[in-house]
Amino acid sequence: MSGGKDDMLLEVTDLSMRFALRSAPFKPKRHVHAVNGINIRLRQGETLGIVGESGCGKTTLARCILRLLEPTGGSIKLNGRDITHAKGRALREARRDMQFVFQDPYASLDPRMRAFELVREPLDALTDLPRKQADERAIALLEKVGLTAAQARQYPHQFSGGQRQRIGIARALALNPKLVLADEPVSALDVSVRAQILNLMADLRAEFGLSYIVISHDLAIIEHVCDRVAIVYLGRIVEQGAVETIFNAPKHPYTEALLAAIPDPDPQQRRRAADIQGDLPNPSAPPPGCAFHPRCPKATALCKQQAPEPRMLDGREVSCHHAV
Amino acid sequence: MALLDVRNLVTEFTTPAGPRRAVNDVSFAVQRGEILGLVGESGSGKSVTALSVMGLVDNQVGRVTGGNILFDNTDLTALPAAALRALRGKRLSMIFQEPLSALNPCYTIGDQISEAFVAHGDSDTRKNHQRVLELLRLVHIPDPEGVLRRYPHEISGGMRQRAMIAMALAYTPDLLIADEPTTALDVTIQAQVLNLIDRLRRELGLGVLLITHDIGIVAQYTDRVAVMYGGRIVETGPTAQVFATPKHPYTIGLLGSVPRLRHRKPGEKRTRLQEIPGSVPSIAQVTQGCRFAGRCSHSMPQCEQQMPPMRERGPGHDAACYWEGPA
Amino acid sequence: MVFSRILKSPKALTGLVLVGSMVLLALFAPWIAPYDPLAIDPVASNQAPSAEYWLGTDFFGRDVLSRMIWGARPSLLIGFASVFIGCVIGSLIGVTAGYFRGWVDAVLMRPVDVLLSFPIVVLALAMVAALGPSLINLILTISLLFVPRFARVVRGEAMALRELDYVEAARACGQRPFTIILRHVLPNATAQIIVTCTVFMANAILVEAGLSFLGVGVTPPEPSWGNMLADGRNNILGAPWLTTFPGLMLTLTLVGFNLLGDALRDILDPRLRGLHN
Repeated sequence: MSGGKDDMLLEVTDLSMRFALRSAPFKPKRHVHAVNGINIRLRQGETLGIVGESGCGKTTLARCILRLLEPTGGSIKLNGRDITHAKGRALREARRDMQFVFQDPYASLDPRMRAFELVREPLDALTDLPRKQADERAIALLEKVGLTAAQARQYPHQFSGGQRQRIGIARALALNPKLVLADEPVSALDVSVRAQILNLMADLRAEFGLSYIVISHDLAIIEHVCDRVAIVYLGRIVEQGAVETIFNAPKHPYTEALLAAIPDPDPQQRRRAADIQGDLPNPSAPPPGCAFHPRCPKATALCKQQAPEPRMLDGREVSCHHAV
Repeated sequence: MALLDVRNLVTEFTTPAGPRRAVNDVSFAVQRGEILGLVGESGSGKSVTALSVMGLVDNQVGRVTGGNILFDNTDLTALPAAALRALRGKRLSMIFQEPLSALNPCYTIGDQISEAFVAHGDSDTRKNHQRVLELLRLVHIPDPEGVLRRYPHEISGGMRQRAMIAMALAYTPDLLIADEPTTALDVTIQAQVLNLIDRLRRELGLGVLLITHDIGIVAQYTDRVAVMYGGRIVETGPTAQVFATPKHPYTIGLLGSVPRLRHRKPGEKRTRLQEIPGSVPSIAQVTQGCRFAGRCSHSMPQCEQQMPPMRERGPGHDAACYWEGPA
Repeated sequence: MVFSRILKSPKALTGLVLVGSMVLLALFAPWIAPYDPLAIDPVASNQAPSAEYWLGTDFFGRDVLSRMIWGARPSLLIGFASVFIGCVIGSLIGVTAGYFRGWVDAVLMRPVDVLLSFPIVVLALAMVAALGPSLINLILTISLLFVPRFARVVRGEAMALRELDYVEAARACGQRPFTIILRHVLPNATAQIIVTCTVFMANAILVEAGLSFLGVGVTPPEPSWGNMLADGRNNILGAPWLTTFPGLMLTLTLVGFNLLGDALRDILDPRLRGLHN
């Protein structure tokens, strides 16, 4: 059913991921809903940012989409093919089209492999390319991301953090994927090096027509690389739409709070972020109704009883009873 | 008279290749009631500077080999270990980046905060209990009675960092050193913790040395800023002025390379981020001249030969660079 | 790279010299030993060390030095062979169980737990009693003792490694599970495996000595350190050289392997490696 009208790359429908908690014998099992009924549509060439605080489930969501985890509910379609429960060969085939860039470039590269071997690994795994051609392609990719052929023979510990992340990106591109997921791709890097990687990602996107899903807690980075954004709170998307729409006029109180909490890097614009009170609730015992209500300045009795359904409002999808 | 006056501080690390300077000729001052931001990337020496001031540099790793640290006119580098210990936690306090690893998982929050009192010879349990409660209220911990009895893993990251701050405030110190206090926290919690530090500065007249790599935090919360690179301070001055007219190419690059929310209009094109080429040099590399020269677009022959001295560029605004700055 | 660091570490060097000299003794025993270790000389029974018999003679008048040198052979052979077999089988079980977890883990590790629950000597005695004493059977018995121990160690290592980003990265890029084990998990567990080998080598030699001492190991008159100790123990006061010297050899070998293992642990630990570069 692929092809035809749609250039729909990724369709995530009502995706859920529950983890069982360790519990005492004879007591009912408790679960954490790390991801709860998430819907995402991504067209070829689009970039989506997923924003949320630690523990909100954004990394679990990425790992489900990549099928490093098997979701407990809902479905994931990549290129029209259902990969929700794909296993073995089918799963590895699906990974031709989607690759991952890890957060920590120090931990995600095998210390015992040279740069070009690392980049070659996806080719070895999923193609029949002869070794010599695979080596050539690996080196060409490393040059594409700004490393030299001489550096291709070095081991990860001989590179700086930024260079390692370049290796990670080259590796993700080896199979010519359509979709690249990047989990906090620059948060482990030095500030002065982040711009290099973000620019590189932008260049590669333009050159290869890639789609990105970028997970980050940094709204400025999301604004910089993404067309669309999904704000996640406690496993649910609370607001989703075009970056310009949402960042210029947020409708969900949580999005507003996030935007207000970012310290503005201009000392002339001093405004103390409005204290958003309270902490993230415990995901294993989420508050009833809207999960955000204990911290929400607009919360009413309705919010405590009934979880809001997503609805369209001013060109974005928002889940709040009181958004206007 | 400045509360903390660090002059020409040098801290050396022992490496297999010989001693290397992690902090190299660093001078700065913190006044009472002021927040000084110390900005830099990993390896810039900002955390080592803080540990040097606290006298907490692990002597297996390195030690302070030069300069003076004047705290309220007492030179900490000349102080015997016992005298320094008596100051630490009482007049000089520090909070760390990762509150979970800085708290002992075996003791309750209440016990650990009282520990600060016991360490300084106040062992009246009932009185300490009262003081701990007051501290927890001071840092706006909801339900202080409950938190007192909890273990570190039972409370959230934001709560833990507040408990750490409460511990640091046990004796109302004169100087608070905060090393990346919010890096491990989420943005909404970050704002709470930073606002708390700022309020305490105002109410208690603390001098604060705030170490961070986040340009936004510097812009919003500091009065003055010192930018570190490769173990040296390359530029320092009033925050507003340094941000408005940065003089050192590294500062300029750093401010330009940080993505910021621009509230793009629909259909508006993305701007490209300004890049600083290359990567942060390791302290193992020894250089004669400016450590930034290799990445600098304005470098001149003399940059490689001799470290440029600090030069005044405006009232209280100094930069260590031969380049005259943007026209 | 590893070798140059061994040369720089006094601990490793001592261990290497001790183990190395034992290996040389065993290899060149026929040329080094002054007498035939089995030659009986009833006239020279229980003689104290002298110019003629450097380390004295035993009850049958056999040269202790020669027997001691020949005795290195079964000890080291059994040590190396059984650790090698135990390591290969145990590591494969351990890495498979640790990487896949779940039912694979359960199926593979339950027998391992059962084997581990027997005391070493009891299990070894039972095995040798069932199989009959011979060099091959001794090696098989001692290998079997080490299979579960290796499996345990390597499983732990594999469980830690499978959580690492780079192993997950290999999965994310479409790599097959067994290729991941061979390319990422095992190579990164080698340091731990090598260290474990050296420590278990000392154990294996000790078990061999113990079994020989109990009379179910190397059968007399073939010399081994264990049966030499057993022979000499009745006359430990009258002829202390009978027990002292084989005991000393055993001790030095064990110390050698333990020093080597200890030093290798530091040298091969990737977390400490950065400090050396």
